[in-house]
Order: sequence, then C-alpha cells, then structure tokens
Amino acid sequence: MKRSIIKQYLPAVFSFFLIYLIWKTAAVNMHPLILPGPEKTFQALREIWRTGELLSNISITLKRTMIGYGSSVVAGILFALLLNKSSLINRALRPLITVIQATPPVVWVALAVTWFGIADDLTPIFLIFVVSLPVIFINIYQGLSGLDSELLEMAILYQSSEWKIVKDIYLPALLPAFVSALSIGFAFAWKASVFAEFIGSSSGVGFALSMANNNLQTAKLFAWTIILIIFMLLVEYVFLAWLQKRVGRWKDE
Amino acid sequence: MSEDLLKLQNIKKSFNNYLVLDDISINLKKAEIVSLLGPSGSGKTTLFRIAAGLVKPDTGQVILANKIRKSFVFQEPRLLPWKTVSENLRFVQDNYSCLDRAEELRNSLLKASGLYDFKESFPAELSGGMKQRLELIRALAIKPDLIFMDEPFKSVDTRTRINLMKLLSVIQAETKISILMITHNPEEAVLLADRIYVLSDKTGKIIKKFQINQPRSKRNIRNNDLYDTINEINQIFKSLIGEMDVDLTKLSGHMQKQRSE
Repeated sequence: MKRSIIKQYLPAVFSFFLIYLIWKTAAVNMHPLILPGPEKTFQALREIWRTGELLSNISITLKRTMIGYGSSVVAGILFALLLNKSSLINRALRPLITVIQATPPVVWVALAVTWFGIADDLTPIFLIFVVSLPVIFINIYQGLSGLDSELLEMAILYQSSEWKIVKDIYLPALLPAFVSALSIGFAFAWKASVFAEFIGSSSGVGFALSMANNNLQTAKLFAWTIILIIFMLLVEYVFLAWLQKRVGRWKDE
Repeated sequence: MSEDLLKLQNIKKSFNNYLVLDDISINLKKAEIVSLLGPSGSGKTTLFRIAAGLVKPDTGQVILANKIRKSFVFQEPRLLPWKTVSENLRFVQDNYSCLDRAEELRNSLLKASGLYDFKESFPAELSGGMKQRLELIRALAIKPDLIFMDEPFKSVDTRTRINLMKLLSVIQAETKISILMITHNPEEAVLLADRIYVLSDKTGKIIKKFQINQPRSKRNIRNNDLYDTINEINQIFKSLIGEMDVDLTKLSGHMQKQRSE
C-alpha cells in the first residue's frame, strides 16, 4: 500500500524538483525583476500571507467563481434538459451554444467591462458564466443522450412513477457526466475569474496579479501564480477526486 | 374452461410498407405457458412488444383480462447498474404497494436462484448467467399473473439455460403464473410450453400449432413424443430456409464469369 503510494507520486515529486533546480539555476544570473529566484518568491509568498492579502483576495475570487459557476451549472442543466426534450428547441438553440463557445474569452471581457464597468463583481461573474456554461451544457447533454432507453422502458413497464424514474434512473445515470462537467467546468471558471479580474476588476486574485505586474513586483507575480496553481490542484485532486470515487462505486472494479 | 388472460386477435403490423406480422391470433389462459416459436426475422420481438403494450398493431386487438399484474423478462438483462442485486428487486417491488411480505419473497427468490450470497453485489460484479437469473427472479418478485418473456435464455450458456428452465418450471408449478414466451429454440418451447405457435419467417404468420399435454415435470427431450415434435419443428424451419436458399451454383458461376472479364 505504502509502496504503491510512493510509486504513484515519486515521479511527480521528481519532476517538480527538477523544475525547481532549473528555476534556481536560471535565476542566479538574472535580474530579480526578470526572473526572481525561489527564495525571493517564497519571501513574497510569506508577505502575501502576513498582510492578509491572500485570504481576502482568495475569498473574493472564490465567491465570484461560485456565483458565476453555480449559475452556469443551473443554466447548463436546464439547457441540456430542454434541448434533449425537444428537437425543435435543439435545432434552434444548439448553434447559439456553439457561438458562445467559439467566441474568445477576451471579447466577453471587453464587452463585460463596457457593460458593467470595472469596480463591480459583475464583470468576472459574467465571464465565468459565459465560459463555463457550454462546458457544463455539453457534458450533461451528452450524458442525457447516452441514457439507456431500454432501462427507461423497463421502468415504465414495471409501473414506476415519473418521480421514481428521475430519482433512480436519470440522476444516477447522469451523475458521472455531472461530476465530470463540474470538474472541467470548475477549471474553466477559476481561470476565467482570474482573467476577468486581471483585466476588469479592482479586487480579487486576478487584480492582485495585475497590480504586481504593473508595479514590477515580479516575485509577487510568481507567488500569486503558485497560489493559484496550488488551489486548483487541491480542488482537482482532493475534492473532485473524492467526488468521482464516490460516484463510480457501482462500476466494476 | 377458464377465461383467457391474454388474447391477441388478428394482429397485423407493417413497417415501411413491409408486412411484419400477418393476422396473428393467439390466446393464453391462467397457469398456461404459451410459446411463440420462430426463426430470427419472423417478427417475434415485434409481436412481444405489441402484446406487452409497447407498440400498437395496425389492425387487430390485444385483450388483457382485468386487473392482472404483468412482468417482463428481456433478451438482455435490463438491470440498474447502480443498484445492488437486492435493490434491483426492490426497485420493482416498491411499485406495487399491495405486495405483502415483499422481503420474504425477495429472500426466497434469491435463495432459489442461488443469488442470496450476492444480494449486496452490483450487476457488474455478476456473470452473464447470474444477471439473467436476476432478470428472471425480478419478474417473479412482484407476484405477477402474467410474464412476458422475450428470448429469456438466449444470452446464457447451455447449463445455465437448463437450470433457469428448471427454476422457472418449479416456480410456475407452485404459483400458477401464465407465461408468454418468445423463442427461436424448439427444445425450450417443447420443454416448457403447453401450446406452441410456430411463426414463418419474413412475414410473420402462424403456420403450425402444437399442443403439449405431458406434465412439465415429466418432460424430457429424449421422450418419443417430444422428440418427434422437435423434429417436426426443425423440418418446418428447414423448409423455410430452403425457400430463401440462394442458388450457389449459379452465384459462383456468375462470379467466375466476372473474374474472367
């Protein structure tokens, strides 16, 4: 057991260590404004933590992500149900989703800044919503179209109520698609929110990044980047992995 | 003479102007097992779906006795993969609130089918034969009056098939359930059914009817009467295949000619 854990993670630890070494060596001969070394970056990290910037900015960004992402989850599911139910609605709305997906995020940010201004929460929330909606929608929609019609027929023949069919067939059948939609969607939402804050907001992690960038505090820029990566890794490997494991319990092992 | 539980009258059905079922009439009484026997492509599954109420016939009628409880056994087991063996049985049992002592029935069916030790397993952890057993006892778990079976033993090996047939005939003897069984296998039909309707291929039409009066528990395919019936059915099937036999000599001659050109 212990051995397999070592086997699992050792290569990753090794490659991170390698990157660290390359970084350290490269930084020796560079100006800290161009490439700050690990020590300078960790110093900046400590500073961000000590001043309380870390928690306040993360909580602002997280709040926006949750609102934007939460509404895109709800809207994505509703859209998927609607388009699955009627082929007319499908033909009418499907191209719209493709258009939303094909539009570069930077266009949405530009529009959002024009419509909602910079000071508001609305710009990042809007971008998160628009960027994660197609991802959530497509995953749920595919889950719905892959639903086993023979199981549904069986349930109907055995007089199951509509509520029971939703609860015992639709929900469990869609759960894997739902979790994967959540997982991919969250990565999109988190990146979108930092991006939107970088360009069109006056608070949050993205804004802190842009301030560090403007003030030539490269070490701080690196520190924030590390924070963002660590946060994403935690969500992906701890929370979502746990969720995925629970959902797939009935699949053959 | 008891009343019919199920009666199909002059059923006709076509798809895209192609006649699949032509003037099919059958009836099924209480405690009877009736088999619809036909080669593949004879419209058996369509007839099953019409009898089960899933598809409407173009003309003709499906008459079901009042207040009978129906259940179903499909060719490929239709089990909920996210529910355990026991939960799969409960899934259908819960729909019939008037079912008393459901748990007792569930456990005795699990024991009779040898699935009791697997009641907490998920379908993915079962073998093909075990899944089909579960499919079968699920149909029994709601104390049905009538079971529709579409090739119930098609997806299992010979040994499992014999065991399932035994299990079914023992339970049927106890409970007096009526069964409409669709199959392509003459042995299955002869061993289980009281009456056999043989369907022609292409346009499904009843071309022969057999009545088997021997008690089910005493049947054996080496028994003379049954052996003869099986042979007769096989002869009918053979003649059907003969009708659509391609003239191979002509075909190969044609191909040779093409090659030399």
